[in-house]
Amino acid sequence: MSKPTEGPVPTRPPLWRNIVVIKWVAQLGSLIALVWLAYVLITQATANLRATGIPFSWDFLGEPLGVKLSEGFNTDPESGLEALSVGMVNMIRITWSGVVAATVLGTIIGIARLSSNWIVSRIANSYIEFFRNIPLLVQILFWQALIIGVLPDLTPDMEGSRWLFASPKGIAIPWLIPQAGRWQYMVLLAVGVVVARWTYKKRIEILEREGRETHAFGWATGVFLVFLIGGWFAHPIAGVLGWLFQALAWVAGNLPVISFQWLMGGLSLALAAWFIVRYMRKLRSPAGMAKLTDDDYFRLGVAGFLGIVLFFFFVSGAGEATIIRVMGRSLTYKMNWGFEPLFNFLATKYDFSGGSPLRFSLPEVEVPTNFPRYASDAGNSMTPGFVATWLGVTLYAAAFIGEIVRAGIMAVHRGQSEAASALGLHRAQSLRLVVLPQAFRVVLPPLGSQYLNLAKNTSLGIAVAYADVVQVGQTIFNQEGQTLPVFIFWMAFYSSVSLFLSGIVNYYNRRMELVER
Amino acid sequence: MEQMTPPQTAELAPEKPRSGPWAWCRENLFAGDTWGPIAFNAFLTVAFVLIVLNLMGFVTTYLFAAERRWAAVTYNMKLLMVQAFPQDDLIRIWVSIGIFAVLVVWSLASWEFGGQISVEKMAQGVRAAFVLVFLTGIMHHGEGAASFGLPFLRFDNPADWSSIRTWIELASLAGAVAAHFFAQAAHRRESEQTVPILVVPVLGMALVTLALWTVWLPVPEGQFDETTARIATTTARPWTILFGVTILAYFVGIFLHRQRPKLMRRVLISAWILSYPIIIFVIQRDPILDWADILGFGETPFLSSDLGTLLIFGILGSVVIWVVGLPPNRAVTGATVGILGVIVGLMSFAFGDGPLWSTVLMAAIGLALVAAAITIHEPVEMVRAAGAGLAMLALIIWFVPMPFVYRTFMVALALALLSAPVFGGTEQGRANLVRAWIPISFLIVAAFLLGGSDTSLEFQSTTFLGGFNLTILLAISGLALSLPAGLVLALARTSSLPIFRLLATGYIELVRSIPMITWLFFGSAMLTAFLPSGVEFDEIVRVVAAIAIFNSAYVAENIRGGLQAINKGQYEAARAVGLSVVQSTSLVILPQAIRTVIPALVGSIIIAFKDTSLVAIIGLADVLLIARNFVPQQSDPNFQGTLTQMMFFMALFYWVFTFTISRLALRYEKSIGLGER
Repeated sequence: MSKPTEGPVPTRPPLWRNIVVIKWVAQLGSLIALVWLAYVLITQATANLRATGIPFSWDFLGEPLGVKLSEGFNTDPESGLEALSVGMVNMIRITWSGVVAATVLGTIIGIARLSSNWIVSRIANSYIEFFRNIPLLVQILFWQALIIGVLPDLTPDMEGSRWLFASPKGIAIPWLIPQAGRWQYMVLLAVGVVVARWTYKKRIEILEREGRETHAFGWATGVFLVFLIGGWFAHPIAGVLGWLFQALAWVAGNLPVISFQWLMGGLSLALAAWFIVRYMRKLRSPAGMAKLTDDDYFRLGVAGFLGIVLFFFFVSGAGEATIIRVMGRSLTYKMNWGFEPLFNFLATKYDFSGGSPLRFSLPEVEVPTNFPRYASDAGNSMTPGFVATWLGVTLYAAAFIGEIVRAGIMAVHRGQSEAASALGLHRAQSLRLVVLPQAFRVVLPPLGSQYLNLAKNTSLGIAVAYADVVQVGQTIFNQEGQTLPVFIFWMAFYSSVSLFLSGIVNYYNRRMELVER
Repeated sequence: MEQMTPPQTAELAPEKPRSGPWAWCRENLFAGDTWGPIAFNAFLTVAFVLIVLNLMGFVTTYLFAAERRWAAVTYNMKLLMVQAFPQDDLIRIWVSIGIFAVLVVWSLASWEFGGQISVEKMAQGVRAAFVLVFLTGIMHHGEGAASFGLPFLRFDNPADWSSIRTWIELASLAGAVAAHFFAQAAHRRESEQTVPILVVPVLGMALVTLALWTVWLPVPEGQFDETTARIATTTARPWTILFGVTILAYFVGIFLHRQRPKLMRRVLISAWILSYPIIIFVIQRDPILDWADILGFGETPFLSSDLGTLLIFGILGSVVIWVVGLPPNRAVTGATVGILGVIVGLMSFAFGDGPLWSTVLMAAIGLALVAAAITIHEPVEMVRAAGAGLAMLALIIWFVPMPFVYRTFMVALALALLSAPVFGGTEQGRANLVRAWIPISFLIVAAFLLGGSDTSLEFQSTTFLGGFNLTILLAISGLALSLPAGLVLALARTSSLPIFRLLATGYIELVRSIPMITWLFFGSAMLTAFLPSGVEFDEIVRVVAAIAIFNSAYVAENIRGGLQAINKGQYEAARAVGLSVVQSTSLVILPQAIRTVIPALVGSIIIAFKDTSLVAIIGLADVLLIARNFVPQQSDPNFQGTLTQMMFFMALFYWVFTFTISRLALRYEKSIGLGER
């Protein structure tokens, strides 16, 4: 390729052949080209949208929407933002319950696949092959078709309450309905979890020190039960928090805006400084400081630059101006970053009034005008959309989780379970105490990505009119024509959900790794 | 594997484990071992057998009940498969399937796909199927419909159901017993008997062919004069011809493979690549489209017809790429730059009704390039600078107002020119680049013909595409775009250049964190807003773009897994041998990386296929939307309210396809020994 050069070799290559220069010119050049392209596209989009008569705007967040949602904590939202938050809560509700159910079912299937019983392992295998190979959307539509087409209709003579109703109007099951006291009760339960955990650790410590059985798990359960039962009666104690929230709301309401600006600015500076310090610490070894490469300079420079820019962005008031400009005048009542309304809201929830936190209730059918329907305040009546979506995502994810669990168990060396049975543990004991904890480490990363998939898959509920954030968003942009803001909203929401979930998984992953070392 | 045991060791061989159904049951169903006591296993077995049989009984009872109208599936099969494709032009669909089938069997012949399956296993499988049918039949309850018949055995009356059931029960029992004895006989043989595995699909196809000619179904009221008809009136003949052609083609393929194995493989690879555009853009194109206009002897002048555009850009582009890739020569390069500058200037003058500054800017850049090419003394540098400059020039033309297809051509040309100095070092590389340019030109013209606008031709809509045909089109187009894009993203994400890494990481993570349906909404409802005003792509093209945006991030993550699995020593060795970055990546790293991630890539192909069903939500008439909305809700009262059984059919339909792909992939992985390294 390269010919041997004649004459004296220059000590430094010329500028256009210096690899570092070429590298950075190419990168910065493409970055600038990309930013320019983004600018062109955005101006184009702005012009195009203005030409269609629907300029880009966030106003719909604060304006009345005029549509009703099929389900959620507020089926008649007053504004676009409220509708979207109903959608978000619905999405989180179905994700949460789906994750729990899919984990349980998937673990059972994964273990069943390894069973020595031919029928059991065959059934688990067929389950996986069946549910994995059919598109999720088809499955959801299939469940919906079954609910609509096969279940018997509600009839007026069904009036009254039963343990279970299943009809084309959905499925209704008994439920614990939260009452006014639930806020106080929740606080006591959280305290109970912390105390139980502390007890568990203490008991394990004693066990390790003295070598006698301390029944750590039993102790922890007992402590939690004390809080569970005692809290039922004693929960008004937590009303103390109401004073605290009132005080906080007062502080948030009376602090000048400038203090929030400085808070955010200081936070961004602190973040940048933290990143730089951590990075430098990573480069330092006992042998001394590593030589900084151009890459390192780039990272440190970008971190510092971003910190300073953000600081001025917030402190100069430009941040607030941008938010007002982007979100529109109608949303400025949420200024002061929403702390005051939040604390005020919490303060109204905490007082010293009694009353049971939860109420057990059976589902009930009422016949107001010849058409029977589920009573809204009795039991838990789930719409066909919810049931179909939930069944779909859960059964689909369980097939994948089953495969993951199986792979995890198989990754644990055979000697481990043999050693466990040599110690005299039952099969179930060795599975619970020896195999599964080790398999968990292998299982966790793919499991996390399955949870993410499940969270994203709930968006398919739109096909069966389940009012999750995508369906509500689509309703809004059909109504208002604001497609791009809704898309940006989806992006922000789903990215935060992804970040949250992967943050949890990474946290446990790191803890698992530490255990191994 | 040694099949025969030498006679002297036969006496020492361990006692053969006891076989037979009872011993098998004791070992596998009622065993007491570490998994639990006998009672537990026995309980599990009995409970699950009962559950499964009851479930299957329930399903069959539902499926064959008198109210089910399976004619909704068979009668609407054409709608499901190709939607509104004109009846008279259906031959195009069959030709497409034929091309695909011939390519498949030729590939099987050329890559010597084989493997044997033992007769005993086959017999066991058949036995299991018959036993399942028998047991399910027992669990079936309630009345059924006389929903089918054979020419010699017609059941037109629902009351005949019980007799049909008895016949099926007896037949399946007899089949199970026969298969059992066959398996036993095969088991007792000295040497294991095998047949080629290809016999299985051939038998399956033959069965389907037979069924197409013989099985009859009731016809929905008011459709024909008869009350029953063959299940596929228009399908049987083409299908049979196809079946024969495929088998014939296989033997021809084997013959060709024996004659010229290497040439055949090379031709096959090109044929696979070319088959996609030819099927989509030539064979299945809109039947209404006027060929005269496309070929340039219609109303439009030849040079602005599609063929004319193709010729201009194909030839012009080839020449420019060829010259830029030539060994360094100052005069030639300078002349090329100058000529291109002139052409660009003329084109912007001819087509541009835009601002003057763009023409002036281009002229200035062209002059600057000529000046730079003359003043730089080293020929190699000069060629690179010229290539880069030409690319910049071509990119700038994007913003000159002229037909969109020309702009796209200029961008493609810019990319080719950028890579010309890299690949053009050798005669071979230059020839490859020019060879690649011709199909690219073809693709661009064809793509605009199918889905774009602003060509010289009047834009045709793609409403003729629909049904399963559309599903396959979306899956293949999405993959064809997302595989190269994913490769580039994966390389960028693992590269040592921080800004590229940051951009790729940001793109991948952002795209992956959002559900696919929102990307489809983006494609169908929002993408147009970002395009220059007046430019509008067809919805199918926009959706393909959205699928590619989404899939490329997943493909990139898969490939990254392979790149990270490669030992650092490989990089270092490649550098030590003196390979450049491009060479070491394309010759050393990527072949190894791709090989390790084939299972993951197959996984994402399957996911891509399954995910195409999501387009039903945004209202594209794919097979799912037709099955769910069009058929049960159409005005024909025969098919109203058939939603549940249509969804049963859809589930089975998708399952058969996906399961087949995944099994084939598994076989392929085993045959190339993946995972054994």
